[in-house]
Amino acid sequence: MYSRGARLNKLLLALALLVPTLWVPMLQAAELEKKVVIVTSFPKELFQAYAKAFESKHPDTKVEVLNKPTSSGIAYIRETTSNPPDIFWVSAPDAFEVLKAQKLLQKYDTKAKGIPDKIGGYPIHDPDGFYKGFAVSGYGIMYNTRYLGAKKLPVPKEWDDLKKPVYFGHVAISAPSRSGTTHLTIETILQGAGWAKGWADLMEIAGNYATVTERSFGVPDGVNNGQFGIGIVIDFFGFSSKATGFPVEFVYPTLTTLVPANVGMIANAQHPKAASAFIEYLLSPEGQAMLFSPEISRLPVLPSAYDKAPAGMPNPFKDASIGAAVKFDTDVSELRYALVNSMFDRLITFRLKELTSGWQAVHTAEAALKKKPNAKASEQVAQARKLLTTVPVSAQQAADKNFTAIFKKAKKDKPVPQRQAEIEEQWDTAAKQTYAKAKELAESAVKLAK
Amino acid sequence: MRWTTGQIAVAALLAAFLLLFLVVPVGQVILVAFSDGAGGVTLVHFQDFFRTSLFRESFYNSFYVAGMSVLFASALALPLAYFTVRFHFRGAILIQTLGVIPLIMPPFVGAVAMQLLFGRNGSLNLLLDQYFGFTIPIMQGLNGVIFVETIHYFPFILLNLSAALANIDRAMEEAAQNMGASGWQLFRRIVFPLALPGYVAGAALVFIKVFDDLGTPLVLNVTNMLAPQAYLRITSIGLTDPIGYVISVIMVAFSLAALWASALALKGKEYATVQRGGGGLAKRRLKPWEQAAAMALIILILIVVLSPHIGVFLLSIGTIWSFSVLPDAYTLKHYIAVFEESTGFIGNTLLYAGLAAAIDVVIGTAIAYLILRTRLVGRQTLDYVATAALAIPGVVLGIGYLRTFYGVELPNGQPLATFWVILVIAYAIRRLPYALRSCVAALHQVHIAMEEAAENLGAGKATTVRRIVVPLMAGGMLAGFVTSFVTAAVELSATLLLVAKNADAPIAYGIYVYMQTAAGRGPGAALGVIAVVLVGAGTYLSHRLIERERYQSSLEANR
Amino acid sequence: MSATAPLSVQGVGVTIENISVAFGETRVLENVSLTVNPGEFFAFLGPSGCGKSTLLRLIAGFGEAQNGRVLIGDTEISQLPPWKRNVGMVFQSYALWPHLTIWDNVAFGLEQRRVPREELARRVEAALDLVGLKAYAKRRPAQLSGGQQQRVALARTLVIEPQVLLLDEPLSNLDAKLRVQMRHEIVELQRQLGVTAIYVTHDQEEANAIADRMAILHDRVIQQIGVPMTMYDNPANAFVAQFLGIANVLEGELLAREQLFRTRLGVDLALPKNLAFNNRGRRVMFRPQAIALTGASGSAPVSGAQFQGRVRDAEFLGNIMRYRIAVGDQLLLADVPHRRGESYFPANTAVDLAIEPEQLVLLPD
Repeated sequence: MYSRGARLNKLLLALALLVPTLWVPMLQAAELEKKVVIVTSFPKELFQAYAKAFESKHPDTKVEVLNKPTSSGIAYIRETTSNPPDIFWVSAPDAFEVLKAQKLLQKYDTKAKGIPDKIGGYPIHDPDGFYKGFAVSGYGIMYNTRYLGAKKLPVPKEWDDLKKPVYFGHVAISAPSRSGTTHLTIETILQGAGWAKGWADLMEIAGNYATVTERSFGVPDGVNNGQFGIGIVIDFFGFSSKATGFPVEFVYPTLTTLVPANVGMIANAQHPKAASAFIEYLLSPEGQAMLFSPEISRLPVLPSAYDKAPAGMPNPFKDASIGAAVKFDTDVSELRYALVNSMFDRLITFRLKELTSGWQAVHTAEAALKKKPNAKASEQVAQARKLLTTVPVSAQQAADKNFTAIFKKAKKDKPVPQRQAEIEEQWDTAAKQTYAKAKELAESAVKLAK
Repeated sequence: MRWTTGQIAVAALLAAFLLLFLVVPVGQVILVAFSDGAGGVTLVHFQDFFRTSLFRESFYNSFYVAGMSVLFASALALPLAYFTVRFHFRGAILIQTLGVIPLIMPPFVGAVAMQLLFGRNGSLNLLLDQYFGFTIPIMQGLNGVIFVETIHYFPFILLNLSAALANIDRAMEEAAQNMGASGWQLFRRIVFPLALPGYVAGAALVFIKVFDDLGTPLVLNVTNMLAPQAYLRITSIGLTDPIGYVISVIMVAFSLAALWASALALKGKEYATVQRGGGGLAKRRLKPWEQAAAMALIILILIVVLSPHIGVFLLSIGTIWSFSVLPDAYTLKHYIAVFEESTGFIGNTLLYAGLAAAIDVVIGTAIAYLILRTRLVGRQTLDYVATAALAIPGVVLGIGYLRTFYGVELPNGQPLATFWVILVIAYAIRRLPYALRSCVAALHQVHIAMEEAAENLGAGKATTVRRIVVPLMAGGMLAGFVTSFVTAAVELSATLLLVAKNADAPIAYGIYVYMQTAAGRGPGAALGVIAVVLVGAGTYLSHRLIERERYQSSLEANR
Repeated sequence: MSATAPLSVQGVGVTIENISVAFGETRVLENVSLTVNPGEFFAFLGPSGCGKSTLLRLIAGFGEAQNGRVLIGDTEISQLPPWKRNVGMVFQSYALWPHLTIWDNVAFGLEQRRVPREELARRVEAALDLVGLKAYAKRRPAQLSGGQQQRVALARTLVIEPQVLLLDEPLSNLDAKLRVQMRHEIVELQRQLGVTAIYVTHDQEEANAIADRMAILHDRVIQQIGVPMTMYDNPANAFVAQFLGIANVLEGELLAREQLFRTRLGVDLALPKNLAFNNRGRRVMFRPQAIALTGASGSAPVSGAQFQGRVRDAEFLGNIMRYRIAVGDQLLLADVPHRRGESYFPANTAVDLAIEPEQLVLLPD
C-alpha cells in the first residue's frame, strides 16, 4: 500500500515546488498509461485482489486506489473535473446515475462476451452504456448464532419471519438513503408486494428494529459484535464475516433481491487505455472467477463462471428462487427513488423510538388477546395495526411525476409546487401522532383484555 | 496603544490565511443555504428549518447533549486537574498524559470497542445480565451520546484547567488558607474562580465540540441531532438539499453564540494572576492512606475514560470477539498484518498532525495577542472566524477545498487540492479553535506589566513576545498544541474527501479502509492502538519537557 | 480612622524554638529561636534572602521546617494546617482575590468562621471603616490604588481578629511618602487593637520606626535581638552595626589597661569607662553623627581624641550635611545637622574631627 521512499518523495516534491520546473510526464502513445486511478467504496480485500492481479498482468501500469465512501467518492469526482480520476467502482447504481446525470461519466462499450442483459429482471449493464455491472449480490438475513442461542430465538428464514414479535429489538438494517443497495432491497419489496402492502410489511418489520444504521457495513458489524442478533444485509457481508470466523450465518429468503456492483469510466479520464483494460479485466472470465474467493464472496455476472463455483454458492442464472420472483422495473424505481428514501427516513429512521414502542404495545395486546379474547380490544388492536402500517403517500402519488419531483434536486426552470421541507414536516408530525395514537389504542386494548 | 506596522501585517496575514482556507472554501459550499435555486438569495430554507419539528427536536437534543456532556466532563476533569497540580504524588504526570489519550479516539474502532464493552450486549451488560439479571442501556440514544462524548472530550477541560491552575499566584491561595479556608471551601471560593478562564475555555470547547460532533451520534445511530441531520442531508447521494447547509450555518452561528456567552461570563473581571516566582499552587505531599485513596479514585476514573482504548487494545489482540465478555483467543497477527502493509500511514500521521498543530499554535498565539493586547479594528472578527471552523463539518470543508483548490495547479501540474499539504491545512483549520482557546486563556493570565517591563528595558514588540510572552504562555500553548495534534491525528471526515493518493494517507484513512470489512477489524484496531501509542508518547514527551522546566524554575522560586 | 477599636483581639506571645529549614540542599534557617511578647510589635529584619520571610511563613503554617517548633501562647501549632492557626497574614503582593469585591474579600475569613450574617456585616463594615475604605466596598481590587489595596489587605486580616498579625514586607510596593503614612497607620492600628504583630522588612528605618523589638537575621541565624535603639547603639557585631545604619569602623589594637584603642592610623581613642573587653579587640565603631567637625584653623576644645582630615566631598541631605572625610588612607563619614543659612566645608577643606569616648563601640572579632 505504501512505499518506503514515499516520504522522501514528498520532501523532494516540496523542494521541486520551490524551484519552478517544467516537469511534464511523457506518456507513451502505443501502450497502456503508467497508471490508472480508481475511486472505490469496496473493501480492501476486493480492490486489493484486483489491483494485484491487474498489475501482474500489466506490470508497467500502476493501480492507484482511492478508497472512499460512495458519497465522498461522488463529491470527489464532482469537484475534480479538471484532472479527474479514471474509474468509479462502487455497488450502488444510483451513485452512477447521479454521475451520469451530471455528465461525469463517459460511455464505454465492453468487448467482453457472454454476459446476458438482465438478471432477475434487473439489467446488468446500464442500458445507456455508461456503467457496467461486474458482479451481483443477493440480499438476505444474517444472524449471530451465539446471540440467537443465548436469547433462545428461532432462526429466521423469510422476510415475514422478521415481523414476529419474538424478534422485537433484535433486527437491524441500514437506511436506504445511506445505502444504495439497501434502497434496492426496499424497492424490490415494494415492487414485489405492491406499494401499500410493501410499506405495511416494511413498517411491521421496522417494529422489530433495534437500530437503523447510517453505514451499510454498520449492520454486519453489529451482528458480528452481537449488539443485535439479526441484520438485513447483502450476502458478501455475511459470507466474508463467516469466513473471518465470526459466529454468524447468512440465509437467502425465498424472495430475495439481486443488486449489482458496477464500474464505470469517468468523463475525460486521464488514462483511458489503462482504464479500459481494467474494466475488461473485471468482466473477463479470469476476473469473474476471482469473485468466488472467500473474502470477496460475490456472484459473477458471467454465467459460464459458475462452472467453477465453490460449493454452496447459489447460481442466480439457474436457481429461479433467487432474484427471479420480482420483475424489477427500473423506471418505477428511478421515478420514486428520492421519495422512498425520504419516506423511510421520516417514517422509520427518525421516528424509530415512537414506531417501535407502538409496535411493542401492539405485540403485548395481541399476546394478551390470545389468552383472553375481547372483541372491542381486537378492534382497537386492528386499528392500531392499521395506523402503524399505513403510509401518508398513496401509490397514485408515488407514481405522479410532479409529486416525486419535489424530492429530486430542484430544477431551475420548473418551480416545484410544494417544497420538500413542508411535506416532510407534515409526515413527521403525522407519524408522531399516529404512532402515539396506535400505542394508546393498543394499551387500552391490553386493559380491556385483562 | 497605537497600531504598529508589525501588528497590522500580522493581522493581514492571519486574515488572508483564514479567508483563503476557511471563508472562501466554506462560503462556496454553504451559499446553497441562501440560494433559491434560480441564482437569487432567499431565507426560505431557514424558515423551513424552524418550522420543522424534527429539526427543532434535533436542536433541543443537541443542546441537551452538549450541556450534559459539559456537566459530566467537568465532574471527571476537576478532580484529575486538581490532584495533579495540588499534590506531589507519583503518577501525576501519568494522569496528565493518560488524561489526554481519550481525545485520541481512533475513528470506527473506538466506537466498535465501546459497543463491545458497554453496548446492549457488551461485556458489562453480559456480566450484569448473567449475575444480576438486568442490563443498563448505557449506549442507547442520547444517553449513549452523552456518555461517549463525555469520556472523549473531557480532556479539553482537564488540559485547560490544569494550565490555569498552575498559573495561579500562590499567595492568593495562601491568603485564603490564612483566612481559615481549606479543602472544598478553598477550592470553590478561591482556587476555582481564579482558574475560571481556563475552565470556561475548556468547557466552551467541550460544549461546542459536542454540539457539532457528528461521529459519535452517527456510530450510535442517533439521528435526531443537528450534526447528523446536516451530514445525512449533505452526503445523501444525488441530493443538493439546501437544508443540510442551513443546519451547518445554524450550527456555526450557535457555536459562535456559545463562545460569545463564555467571553461575556469572564468580562469585567481581572484574572491576570501570574506572578512567576510564586507561581502555581503549593504542592502538598499526601499521607500514605490519602495517596492510596486518591490513586483508587483516579484509577477508577482512568479505567472509565480509557475503556475505549482498553477495548481497542483487546480487539487488536483478539481473534474473534462476538457476544462475549472477552475475545475468544489472542493473537499478534493483526499487528504483523499492519506492519507488513501499512507503516506509511504512521509517518504521514505524525507529519501532518505535527505540522497542523504547529501552525495552530503559531496562529493561535498571534490571534490571542491581537485580541488581548491591541486595539486593532477587526481583531474580534479574526477570533470569531477562526473559531467558526469548529462548527464547520469536515465534509463541508473537504468539498470546499476540492471546489476551490482543485483548479489551482502546482508547478508540476498537480492540482493543489491533491497535494498532501492541503490535508495539513485542513487539519490546521479544523483544529485551530482548540489551540486558539488555550492560547487566549494562557495570555489572559499573563499580566501586561510583564510585557511592559520588557519593553521598558528596550525590547521591541517582537522581542517581547518571543522572550517574555511566549515563555509565560508555554503551558497553555502546549495544551493547545497537544489538543490540536491528537485530534488532528484521528480526523476522518475531511481526510476521506481529500486523500488523493494512498501513499499520502494518514492512519485515520487506513483504519477506515480496514474497518470496511469483517476481516479488517483486528488490523484496524491494531492501527488504532498504534495511533494512540504514538500520539500518547508524543504528548508525554512534551509534558516532560515542560514539567522539567517548571520544576527547575519552581526550585529557584522556593529559595 | 476611628478612635475606638470595634474589633477585640487578645494579644498572645509567639515562641519559636530551634527552627531549621532547608530547601533541598540549600539551608535557609538554622536553629533559630526567639520569643515575641504578647501585644508586642516585633520585626524580622535582614537583607533579602536571609530567611526572614520563610520564618514568618512558618508561623502562618506555610512551608515545612525540618525541625523545631512554633508556639502561640502556650500552644504548639507546628502541626496545625494554616487554616486552623488563626494568625492573620498580610502578603507582600496583598493577594487580594481579583474575582471578589472588596466587601467579599474582607468578609471571606468571617464566612469561613461561620460568623452569623449580621455580625459579619457589622464586623466587615467596622474593618473597612477602620482602614477608611467603607465607600469602596462594592469595587474590585483592580479598581483600587496600591495604598488602598494595602488597606484592604489589612482589613481582611484584622477582621478575623487574629491572635497574631503577620506582615510580610507589606509596604514594599508603595511609594516613599505613602510608605511612611501607612506604617504609622499600621502601628496605630496595632496599638489600638493590642494585637501581637510580626513584621518582616529589609528596611531598617521602617523596622526602627515601628518595632518594639526586632530580630536581625543574616546567614541562616539570628544575629541579634533587641530594642531598636539599643541595637543601634550597641550592635552585637559588624553586620548588625552596618545593617542598622552607617558605621565608621576603624581597625587597630585594644590597649585594655590604658582604656585606649590604638587605631591603625596611629591615633589613640579613649574608650568609655566600665567597658567589658572580653572577646573584643581589633575594631571600633562609631556613627557619623558622633563626629564633631571643626575647621582646621581653630584649636577646637573638644574632649576625646582628634584626627586631622580633609573633606573629600559633601552630600546635602536636607536635615544634615554628610561629609566624606579622608583620614590617612581611610574614609570616614560625618553628619552635621543643617540649619538655615549655615555654611559648610567645601571639598579639600582641612578639618579636625573629635569623637567622645561614649560614642565608641568595640566590635567582636
